[in-house]
Amino acid sequence: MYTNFLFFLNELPPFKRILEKMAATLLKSVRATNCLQTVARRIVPRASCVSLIHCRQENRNLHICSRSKSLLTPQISSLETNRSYAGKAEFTISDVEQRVMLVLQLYDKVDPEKVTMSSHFINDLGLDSLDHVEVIMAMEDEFGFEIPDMDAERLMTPKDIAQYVCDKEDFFTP
Amino acid sequence: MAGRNAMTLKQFMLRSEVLKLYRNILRTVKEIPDDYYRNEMAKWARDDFRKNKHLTDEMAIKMMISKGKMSLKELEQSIVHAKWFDKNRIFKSNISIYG
Repeated sequence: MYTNFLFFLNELPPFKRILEKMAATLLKSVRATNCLQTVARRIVPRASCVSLIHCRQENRNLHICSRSKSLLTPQISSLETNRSYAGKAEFTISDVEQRVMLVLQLYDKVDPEKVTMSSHFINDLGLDSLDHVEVIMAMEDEFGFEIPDMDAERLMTPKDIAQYVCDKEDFFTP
Repeated sequence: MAGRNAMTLKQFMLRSEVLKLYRNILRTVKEIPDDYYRNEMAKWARDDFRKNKHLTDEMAIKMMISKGKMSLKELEQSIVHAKWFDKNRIFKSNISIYG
């Protein structure tokens, strides 16, 4: 279409150069706009898309950050720190002695009436060393802690056992 | 009882061996998971020890001690097995199909 216009212009000699110049500039501008158009058509959408994506990611990051921030802030304002410590029940030596006597009286080889605090297992109550081991095991069960062998063979009367248990467990002895 | 003071050192050592073994057996028996078998094993151990209480020959006592130690090891292994099976049984019942 432009070439036809140029041919028509060539037919008119007086305005030829002016029109030629005008046509040339028009062509240039049209070509320029064409170029711009193509550029715009190709590049601008891509750029916009990329920018949009960046924006979206930023938004996402912001959202994520805001959510995690709320998670990170400690929410222990409603909780009160309660501390509780475990402690042993308070016993006295008389309680321990009563428990020792009860365990002995429940033992089938021992006569309940003959048992006193200072009755010797082997000499007075007629038990042998195997029975002694069983009695010490029963005491371990009753008071919940293990008595080593070396200590066990010294404990020959209920009084000894009660004293030993109190020493081991640090009961208050008034 | 009167002859206890006249015990020789060797007899004293053997006696303490026997008592130590007795204590270990009783402690292991306490760990048996089943109630009935626990009482049975405790009674069995007690009777076995009392049966051989009268032995005075050193070699015989040593043989009995080693037999007792072997029985103790077997008992410990069977307790480990029983506890393992107990644990598996509980796990299986949790995933039963019928809920």
